[in-house]
Amino acid sequence: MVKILSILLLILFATITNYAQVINVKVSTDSSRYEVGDYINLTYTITHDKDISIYFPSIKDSIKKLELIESLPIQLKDDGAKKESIFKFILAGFDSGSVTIPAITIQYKSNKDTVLQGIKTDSLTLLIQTLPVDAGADIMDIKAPLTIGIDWLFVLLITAIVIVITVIGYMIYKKYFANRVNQIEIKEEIIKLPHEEALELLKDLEEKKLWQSGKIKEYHSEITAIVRRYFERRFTILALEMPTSEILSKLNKINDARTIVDLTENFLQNADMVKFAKFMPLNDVNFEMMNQAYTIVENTKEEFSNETASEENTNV
Amino acid sequence: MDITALNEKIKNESAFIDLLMNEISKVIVGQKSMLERLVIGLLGNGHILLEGVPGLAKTLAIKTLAASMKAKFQRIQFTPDLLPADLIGTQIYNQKEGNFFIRKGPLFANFILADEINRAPAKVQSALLEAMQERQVTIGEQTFKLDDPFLVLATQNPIEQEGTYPLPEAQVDRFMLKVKITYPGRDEELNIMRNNLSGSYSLIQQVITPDDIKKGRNLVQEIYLDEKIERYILDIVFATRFPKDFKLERLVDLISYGASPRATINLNLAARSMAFIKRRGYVIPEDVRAVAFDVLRHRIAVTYEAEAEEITPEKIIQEILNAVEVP
Repeated sequence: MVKILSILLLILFATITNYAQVINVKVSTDSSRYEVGDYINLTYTITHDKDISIYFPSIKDSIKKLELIESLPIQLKDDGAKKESIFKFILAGFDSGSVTIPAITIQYKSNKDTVLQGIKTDSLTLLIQTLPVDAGADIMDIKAPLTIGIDWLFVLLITAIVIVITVIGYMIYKKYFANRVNQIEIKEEIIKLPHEEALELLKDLEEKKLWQSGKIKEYHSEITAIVRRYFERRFTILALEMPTSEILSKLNKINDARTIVDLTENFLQNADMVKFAKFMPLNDVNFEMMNQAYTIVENTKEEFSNETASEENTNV
Repeated sequence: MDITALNEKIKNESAFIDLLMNEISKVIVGQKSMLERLVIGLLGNGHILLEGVPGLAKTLAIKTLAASMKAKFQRIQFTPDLLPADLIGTQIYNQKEGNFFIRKGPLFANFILADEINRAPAKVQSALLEAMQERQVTIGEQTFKLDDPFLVLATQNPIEQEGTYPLPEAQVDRFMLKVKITYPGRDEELNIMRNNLSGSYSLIQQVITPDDIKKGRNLVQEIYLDEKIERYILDIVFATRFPKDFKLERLVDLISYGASPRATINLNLAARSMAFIKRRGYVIPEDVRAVAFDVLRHRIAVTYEAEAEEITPEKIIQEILNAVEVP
């Protein structure tokens, strides 16, 4: 008798222990009627013991007629003895009619146990309907697009940005561009006639006293460069890119230059000897070179009226 | 050496050039520029590529040059079936003695006129150009030095393209000068006509010896070339490679590739030779400009765009000379 009682007590204890591992699943939506395209908030609330781990399945394949828009993060609540795991999904249906969210099996496992068990949810039936059309109502125009009211804060922000950009732009203009305009104006002012430029450069060269300080080759190079540049501007020939013989040949064909051809020949050939043949001229020759350069320029300078001069400046 | 003394020396030693020119001009009417270039080739120890339509006295000029210094002259007509052995020579089996003996080819002469070089296939051109460069020829196992002076004057047929093998750029570069010959002037042609019909050509006398040329070559090396001229030469050559640096943006799309360092060397050498011909002991920019076209025209390759616009290397060189500042 005692043996039988012991067995019964054991069975009762086992039943009580099993019964202690409680897990409940509640499935719900925020409504049972939706219009086409409405968001359906589907919630699975699982209440379970603390030592139970939940394995929630993917519901994507179960909700065939609905579309899964988003899976929200799992919410966990703990009230001491029990735990609540809430799985929320946003669904949408685009076909009207009755739709059933089928029952799914949620698997769980007790920490003390190794066996995976399952609990089945209820199924839910929803109604998805199209917009109700009042056939008796008047036909109305298509609604105009919604207009958004003026956001004064945004307007103010844009205005402030525009003002700042304008101020910065003005400052840049003033600092760089305005100066450049001034420079150009200054440049225009310093453009000189060919002979004016040549005479000024010759004077500068004279003051440098190159040959007096032994820089004879430099002196001859510079003096010929000045005269050749003068020819280039005065007679519009590429004198800087021509050797002596070609310059002379060109000058021979220019009426205004014929008078100085012989002098130029002597001048350039002397310089060529110094520049290319290591020839060391006498001081008199160096001195005479300057006189010859002045004579070449003076004898061929163009007589400009004020009008022509200003015209040339404008053209330049 | 003092420049005045050098100038005097060159003036005296280069007198044979005038003798030579006068002797040749007894037979050749006009073509002074071509004759000068021939002498530049001789003094610079280089070779010349000649381009011009037939009948402009190319053969006569070199033949006369050879006669005036009693040098050996050979003319080789290049044909598609020519073989390298036809140029350099070959080993021939002597049945009687049972051994091979060497028969030297026509390259063993002082002056070679390689007529229509672009008619021969690449292997023959290559054999000639190798001999030009090395100045020696190997037949079998024996190497022979070629005669000195050794000047090759090669002509290209500019008219026909069919059945020709144009010289590759790398080989064209080996010619010191490429000279273009133009038709003689009216008066010159009148003289040519009269001389030819009356048969009144003078007999060419030997006026110089090959040793004069060798001596001349040494003197050319002594001619003073200032650093300014060196820089001018470099500017010209660099302008063919980087036209943008010389404000010649227009040429960028027209030049496929510019002149090689061989151009720089040859421009220097040709300018010195020109100064020698002009009996000067120093080089002036005129000397450089006088030879610039001949040194550069075969070393600048133009693009298809340039060809479409009918822009020749000569036009490009002219633009470069007009843009590079003379010292």
